Amino acid sequence: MTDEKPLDEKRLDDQLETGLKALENGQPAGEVNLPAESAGLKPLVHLAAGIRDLPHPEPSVESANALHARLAAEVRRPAPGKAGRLNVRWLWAAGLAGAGALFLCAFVLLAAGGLWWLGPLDARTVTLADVSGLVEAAPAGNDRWQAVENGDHLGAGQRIRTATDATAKLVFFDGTRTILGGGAEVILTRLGGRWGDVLQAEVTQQAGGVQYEVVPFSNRNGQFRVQTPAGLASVHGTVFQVWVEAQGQAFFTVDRGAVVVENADQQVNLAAGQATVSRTDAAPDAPSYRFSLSDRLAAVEGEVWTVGQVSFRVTAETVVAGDPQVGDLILAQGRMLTADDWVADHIALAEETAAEFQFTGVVQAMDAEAWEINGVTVLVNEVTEVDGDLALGDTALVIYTVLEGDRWLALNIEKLESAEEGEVPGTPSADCTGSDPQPTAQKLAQQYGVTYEEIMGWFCQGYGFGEIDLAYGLSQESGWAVADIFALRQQNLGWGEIKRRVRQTPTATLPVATLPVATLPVTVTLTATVTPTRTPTPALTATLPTATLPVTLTVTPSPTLSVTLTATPAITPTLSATQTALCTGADPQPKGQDLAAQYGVSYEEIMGWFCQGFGFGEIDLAYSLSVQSGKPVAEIFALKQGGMGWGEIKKLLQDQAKPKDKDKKKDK
Amino acid sequence: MQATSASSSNPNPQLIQRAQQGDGGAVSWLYAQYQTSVFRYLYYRTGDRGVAEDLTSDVFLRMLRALPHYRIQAAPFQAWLFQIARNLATDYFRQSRQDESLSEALEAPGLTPEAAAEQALTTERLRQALAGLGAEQREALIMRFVLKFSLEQTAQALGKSEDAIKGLQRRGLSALRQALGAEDQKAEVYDDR
Repeated sequence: MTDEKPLDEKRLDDQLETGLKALENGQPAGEVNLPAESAGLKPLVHLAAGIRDLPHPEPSVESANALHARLAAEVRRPAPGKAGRLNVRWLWAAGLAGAGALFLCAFVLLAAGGLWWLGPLDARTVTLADVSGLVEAAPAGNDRWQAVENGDHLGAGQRIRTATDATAKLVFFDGTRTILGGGAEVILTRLGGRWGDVLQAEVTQQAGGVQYEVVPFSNRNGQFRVQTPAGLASVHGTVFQVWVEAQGQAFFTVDRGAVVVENADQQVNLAAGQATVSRTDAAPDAPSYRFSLSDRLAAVEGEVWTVGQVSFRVTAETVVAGDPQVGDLILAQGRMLTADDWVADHIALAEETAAEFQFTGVVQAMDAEAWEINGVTVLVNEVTEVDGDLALGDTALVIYTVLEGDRWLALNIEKLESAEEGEVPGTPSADCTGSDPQPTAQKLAQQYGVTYEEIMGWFCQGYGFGEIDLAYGLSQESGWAVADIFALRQQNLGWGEIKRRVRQTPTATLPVATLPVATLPVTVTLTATVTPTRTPTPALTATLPTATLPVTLTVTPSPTLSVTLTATPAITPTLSATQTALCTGADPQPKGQDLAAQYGVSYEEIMGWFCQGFGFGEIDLAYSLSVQSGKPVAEIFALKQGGMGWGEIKKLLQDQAKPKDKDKKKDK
Repeated sequence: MQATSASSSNPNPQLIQRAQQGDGGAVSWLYAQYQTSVFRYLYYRTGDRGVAEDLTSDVFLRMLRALPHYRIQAAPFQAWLFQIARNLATDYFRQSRQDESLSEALEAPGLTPEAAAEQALTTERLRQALAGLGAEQREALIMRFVLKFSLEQTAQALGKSEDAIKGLQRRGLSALRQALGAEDQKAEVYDDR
């Protein structure tokens, strides 16, 4: 194939590439110069810059850790083909040379195996990855800093630092990752452990912010410690961040798992979602749940600052980087000492980014319309996405927006797991004989109503507790037997594929005759596939109780016969039964009346949206966003109808509002 | 705090050799270096996080098995690894009988062109818009702008000349812009279809 093109096309291709090259070299899209004749390429350069700057998705820590563990296991496993060839030669050689030679060679093989078990030097080094910007390392005890790059290995005693706009990742042999943000400096104080064994490491963090993603250890010998000028953090498999400020204090926050922070002979235990501050020669503060607010600074009144519509205190101990002014975009992070007393620990000017409000806490109440989390009431409705199987007492991360009337609506509530020791898939290490009850197993047994021994049975077969939780959850959701779900896993299917298969063919144990009778009739035609074959094949018609679509049904009419049914809905209803009743002119709906009063519009206008299929929660949010952004409500609903999620719509409206805010600021 | 993902580059030959000899540290490094890029490539190809994570696992397990046969002279490591990822993505679409190009192409939600042009670019909109492009343009754009491969690396990974990639990226960006609803008269001039 030739790449010959008309000259003008080739010129355009080259000119665009020149512009893209400038982007790659760090030039902002607005400053990329193109010849006048190809000014029309500018939007393409801007689009390319937009794609490059997007926060592209990351693989989950769980899947990354599971895959790393699997790769490590594969590396340790000898290649079968190679072993076979060796054996044939050895039998022949043994026959000729006799038992002495056999012994000698066996010794060599054993020695090699032993060395492998002791591990390569890499078990005592970390490897640099994802280096961006200037990252330097210096040997222990001197200041000869040298630039380092991806793939470089660093050993115990070495120091690593990042420039203010640089980042780097340190990868330990077991997959544990330490991600250095800008302006960070750490020393690899201790690097121990062996390939095939657990990590034993200590890092001294002298400055900046660092995220630690420690792979759960498979036995009690594992250790990962972070020493700061104001406290020591010890973990056993978790995700947490540490910030060390110039003034010497250190902030510790935990995303998953648990961390012990010690200083001045005192220690505090941080669970997932919690944070503490530690200062030189003082005990760490008691653990608190944390908040993070990213938006424009709206007001400063004494020690009370307001971001968006959320207020918090700024004390003498709050570290404020730069000189934020009202109207500036800032990121404020701190702790919730009580539900009404939020104290900022760290405030910095932020990049141009969408506003986001979040906090963590324990779920204390779960009502139909509102949940109480850490003493704070957040509304929940059809807009709210709940990740994980949350129950009272669980710890959660709440991402929320503020509606008119200072009401907080949860957009996303995510369960924060306190991972237990020994959760590495395929590496069970807890005592499988049951001497010490394993707390996670006890919790799972209670949650799913099975015996502790049953849970530990799966664990001792090599499944992690996360996998066991997932399998039982899927079993409850679909009716599949847990053993069948694990059988799929044994076929090396990933959990994504397993979920898909299980959800595509859920198996209900209800007899056909007990299918519920509809109040809002939707007729579906069911096609039956019967295994083993039964003649005649059952032809089934079911009537569903609600109009929730899409619908897939599976029915097992008797214990020995499996019938898979695929339901094809005949209609696509857009209104729920309640909506249908209200839209046909029933009594005034109090919620509709409340919203009409709240936003100063007519009841009929609110009900108009409701009768188009939007829930009251969505209507509330849309009007609130309309008030905040100035966009007509109809445009906001059009975005929703176009397939965007509410989180996306909120970000979009905020992004669109930003240039206008800037202009206003300039005008002032 | 989130570290930015730097563009991947080819590891040095000694590291590859060590990985071929079964050095766990070298394999760990390769995994850490390429895991995010491979996942993102597969995410934008399949549009499903779970599938992308499963396929990422398959890519690295297949890499491990194929490493002893890899010859550094034949192809740069990154191009070789992404060939595995491309093959697995193709197998996935074949086995699941899904048509990649038909999966949820973006439809403008009844907005005026001006309103559509104002819409912020999000990963989801990008994914949907990419799904509406031809396979070659889609792959070229993912590698050049999502994975931040250089022109040379993209050409190696897709087995094409650099000139061919230049053409693909220009036409692909034009088509993508159109799919995102922001096409204007000027850009049409440069869309050679």
